[in-house]
Amino acid sequence: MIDAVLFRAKHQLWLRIAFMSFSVNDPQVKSRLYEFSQIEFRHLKWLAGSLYENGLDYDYERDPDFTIESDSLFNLVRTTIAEIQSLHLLYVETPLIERMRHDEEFLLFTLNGYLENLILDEPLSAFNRSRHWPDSLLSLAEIDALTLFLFEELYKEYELIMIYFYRQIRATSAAQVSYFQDLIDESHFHLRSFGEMMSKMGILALPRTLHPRTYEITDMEKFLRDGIVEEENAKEECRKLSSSITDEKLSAFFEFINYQESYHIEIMKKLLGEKYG
Amino acid sequence: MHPRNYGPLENPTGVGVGHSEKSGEFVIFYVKSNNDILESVGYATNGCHDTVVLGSMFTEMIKGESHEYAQMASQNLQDKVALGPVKQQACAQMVLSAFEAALINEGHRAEGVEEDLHAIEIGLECEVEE
Repeated sequence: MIDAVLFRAKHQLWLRIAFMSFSVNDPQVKSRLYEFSQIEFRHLKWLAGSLYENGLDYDYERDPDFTIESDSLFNLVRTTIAEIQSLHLLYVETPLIERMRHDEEFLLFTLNGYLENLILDEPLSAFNRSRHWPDSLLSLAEIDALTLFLFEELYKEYELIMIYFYRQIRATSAAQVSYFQDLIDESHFHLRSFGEMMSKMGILALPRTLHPRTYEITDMEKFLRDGIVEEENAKEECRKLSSSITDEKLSAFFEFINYQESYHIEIMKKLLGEKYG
Repeated sequence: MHPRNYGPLENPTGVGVGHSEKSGEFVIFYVKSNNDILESVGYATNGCHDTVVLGSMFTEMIKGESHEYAQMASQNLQDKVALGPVKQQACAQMVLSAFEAALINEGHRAEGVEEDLHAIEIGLECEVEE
């Protein structure tokens, strides 16, 4: 059945594959897993659209025991295979579900292929809490600032993706769909960037679950105005971090993120001119 | 991050919200009491990590305790954070107001009033320049 239970399982699978890609060291596996996570996110969009059109409720809850942490890639791969297999027990025969099943059969084929390539079973350091930045020598104060920033912003990017996603499903014009898609894509990029940085530092963790009050926005104008202020604050946080971190590459990265926030503000201003149902 | 007692409770006896209209941030607090004892407590927030940590600490302090103890703990926490930065005072106020609202909601429900949740707007802003 296409229902809230299936939606929760797919939401969880998207997170699992995205965070597994952040945690992996091998660049080819990392990139391929991230592509699969994006396919899962598109499934989620079609599923949410179908549920909404049929007047069925869904939410962003997750299994309380859901975890993405392991010290071995093969353990993560095995868990993902088992999760996809249980997900398929929920599948019924509809054109949408068939499309998802075909995508996931290839994903299963790829994951099983990884298990046969023993050289890939390297230990993962993404969750070891070492708080060590391997690319340059950072002071303890810089490490502290970076840690706090990454935890805060990883959650925020996840929250933004899911809020924009919720509104995109309820969009009342093609322009709104396009603006929300731009914002979702940008936040995916930030989520991936911050997730991979957290993985490098051994502090990768799932963002906390979203309460419906966070994303069931009734006053869009207020939400967008608050969002613009929040983006301004995020710009300030990036600016502060960029100036407090002495490493040139990291500093340039946060300066880049800072300028991206300006672009988000412009999209949100365009959305302010739209009418909402 | 693995905050304790994070997330809604099933069949709560009281639900309260502490929120800032200006910033849009909120804490939603769930209590499940048996007579005078807080058998389970839970919370969720869209706020910053200070709020998450304070919620985690406070729920651990009061879980399994009496209402009287919980209210005393709330006051003690408020006194303690009053000595710290304004940002943390705002975060604590949001958590503690949500708890207070949950107890008010529990009282209303006990009186037969139909109220899904009780909300209290907080005076302080979380996102304060330090």
